Amino acid sequence: MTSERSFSIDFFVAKAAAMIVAATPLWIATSPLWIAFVRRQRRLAVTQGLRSLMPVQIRTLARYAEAMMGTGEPQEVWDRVALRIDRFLATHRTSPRAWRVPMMILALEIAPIFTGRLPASWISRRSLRCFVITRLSTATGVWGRLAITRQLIRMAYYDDPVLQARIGYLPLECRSNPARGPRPTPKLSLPTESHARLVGANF
Amino acid sequence: MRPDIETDILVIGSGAGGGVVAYHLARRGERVVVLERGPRVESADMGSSEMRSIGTLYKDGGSQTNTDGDMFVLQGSCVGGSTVLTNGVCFRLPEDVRRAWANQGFEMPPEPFARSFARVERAIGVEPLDPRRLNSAAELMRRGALAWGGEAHGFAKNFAQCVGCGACNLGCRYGRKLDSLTTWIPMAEAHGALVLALCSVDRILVEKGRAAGGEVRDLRDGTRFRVRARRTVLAAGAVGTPEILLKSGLAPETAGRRTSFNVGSLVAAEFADDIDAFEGDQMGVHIAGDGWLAEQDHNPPTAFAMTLPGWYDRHASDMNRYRRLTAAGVLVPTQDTGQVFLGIGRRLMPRLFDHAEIKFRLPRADLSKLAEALTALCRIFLAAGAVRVLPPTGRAIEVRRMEDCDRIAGLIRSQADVTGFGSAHPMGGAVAGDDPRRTTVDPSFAVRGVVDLFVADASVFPASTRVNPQLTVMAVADAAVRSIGGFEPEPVPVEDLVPILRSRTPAGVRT
Repeated sequence: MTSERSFSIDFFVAKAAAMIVAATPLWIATSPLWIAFVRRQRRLAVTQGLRSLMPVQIRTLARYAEAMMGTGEPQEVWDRVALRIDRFLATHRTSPRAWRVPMMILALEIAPIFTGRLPASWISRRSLRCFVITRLSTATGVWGRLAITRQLIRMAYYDDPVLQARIGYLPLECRSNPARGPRPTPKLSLPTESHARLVGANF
Repeated sequence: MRPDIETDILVIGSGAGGGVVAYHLARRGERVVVLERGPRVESADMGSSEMRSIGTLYKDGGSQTNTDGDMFVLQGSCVGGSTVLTNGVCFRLPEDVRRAWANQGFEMPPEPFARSFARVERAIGVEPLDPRRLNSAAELMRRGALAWGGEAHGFAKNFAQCVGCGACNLGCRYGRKLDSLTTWIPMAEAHGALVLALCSVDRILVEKGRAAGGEVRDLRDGTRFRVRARRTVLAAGAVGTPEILLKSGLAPETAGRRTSFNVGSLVAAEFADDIDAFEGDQMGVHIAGDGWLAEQDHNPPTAFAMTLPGWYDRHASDMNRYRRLTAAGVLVPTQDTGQVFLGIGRRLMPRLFDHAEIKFRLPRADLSKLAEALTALCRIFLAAGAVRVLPPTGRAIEVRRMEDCDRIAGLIRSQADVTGFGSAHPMGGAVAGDDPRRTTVDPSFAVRGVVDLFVADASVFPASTRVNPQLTVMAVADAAVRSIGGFEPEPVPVEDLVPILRSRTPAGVRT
């Protein structure tokens, strides 16, 4: 017997695929618009030096980062968070799952529509934060899955040496605790004690 | 199509299993080709950015989950595999688990198995962790364990003069972890093995019932080629090995089934004063409970933020107290109810879904054990003097008193209720044993129904190891060499290892 079942990505993907197929006439009818939009976004991505995402996705991420972290920092901080995510996604572009995150970011852009709001880039800071609080922080199911974006955002937010120093973290090279042996790193002079015994010396 | 590569042995995967097999066979004079899906990142090239390391070294950038999306399955995807990302923890397989394997038809006789352990321990320098490298939280946990009624023990690790940077899970940029990247793979290369990174095996070539190598895709440019080999060894891990078998149409009835894990999550605790637990080895002590293990696990800021429960200002305010915080995780062995399979998406849109799916729901009994372990860990932290404990419950709560710990179990009704629930120790999926209906691999590591195809990684494990499996995978691979190569592996001579370690120039070293 297994524990309670709550949500299945398989079921969700199947449902989403069915909805996309059902909306085929709409896709075809509006194709000149969105094809032009995607082309423009790709051109902009090249000019802005983006590696994995389109500018619209960067904007979405920056908006959500601001709403999810709630630390009241200036816009540049959130733009940098979004750019770090772009770089992060580029590190594993050969992964067969690499397309999922950009798709999820697009889903996040339009997600507020399903709660009677405008897309994420268009609504006010306060309204987006309200959406995040009511839908993403406590929800399960589809909303809960979208909420895993917070992991990406947290990762990008805290992967900043300046912020790390501010919360008190010191990388090894900056530590100087004499009680714990020499710092920084001693030269690797022998692999292990047992190897040293075998070799008979500290090489 | 590029020209084929002809070789004696094709090893698919360069981690704990593949590294050992490649080395011993190359040393014996066989021509060996090792294929690795991930990139090759040497210690000197591992930067200080956690995000970059996670993206580069972890499979799918650390985003591999089960089909329900409520469980992370972390694996390495780089030359050296998951050994590059471990905390260096080296446990021998507990005797009761070895007996349980034997009862399921996978007998690892004690004497030869002990010799295998001894050989790999010597080769990767397993020794007790230098107490000077423990961080301050290790002592706190030791005190907490005593007050709780247990005992904290140290670890044996495959480190060479650990510098205690506290970032083992990001790969050792100081070159002090004697992982597969640092030992087995370069030693195999020194004996002539060819290691190809960023090469994905699409399927095993089978000709007249014999495995004849693999069909390979170079992920850098998408070109395809074949590696033709007399014998093929699958060591792509507990997800990758069954995935390749299924893609090749081999053992379709059993491959991917009986997947088990050591699952867990992290509990954070805040102390009244700054403890700076980031200074020192991130995993210094462990506490054994009734069917579970608690392991100290203090992460650097980025990973710490990802596992700390809570949202918004509260999460940020907790992170601002990083110097007072530390964390530990629990490991709970699960039943073998998981499954690795190829989803319907792969049939419909193979370019988008070219990967295996993992299906796993934590059985009720294991869920209870997880809740029990998390509760005990909260008690240990409180006993250690923590002013508050943050258990990984979906509904973020704080525990400040012992009696509040009893609330935790009630908040965990499924794995979805556990923040950061996941596993870095998947096992099974191509289980070895003597029952052809339930196992993919026979007791001599050969895949049933195909000649000259072997498995030498954690996917042969009939049940979870209960402890960190790195060393067991290496010992099992050592044992597999007897079947694959037909000889007893010899101890690694020091002249094989020393030149490689001497030639390394770890980053950050000032001489």
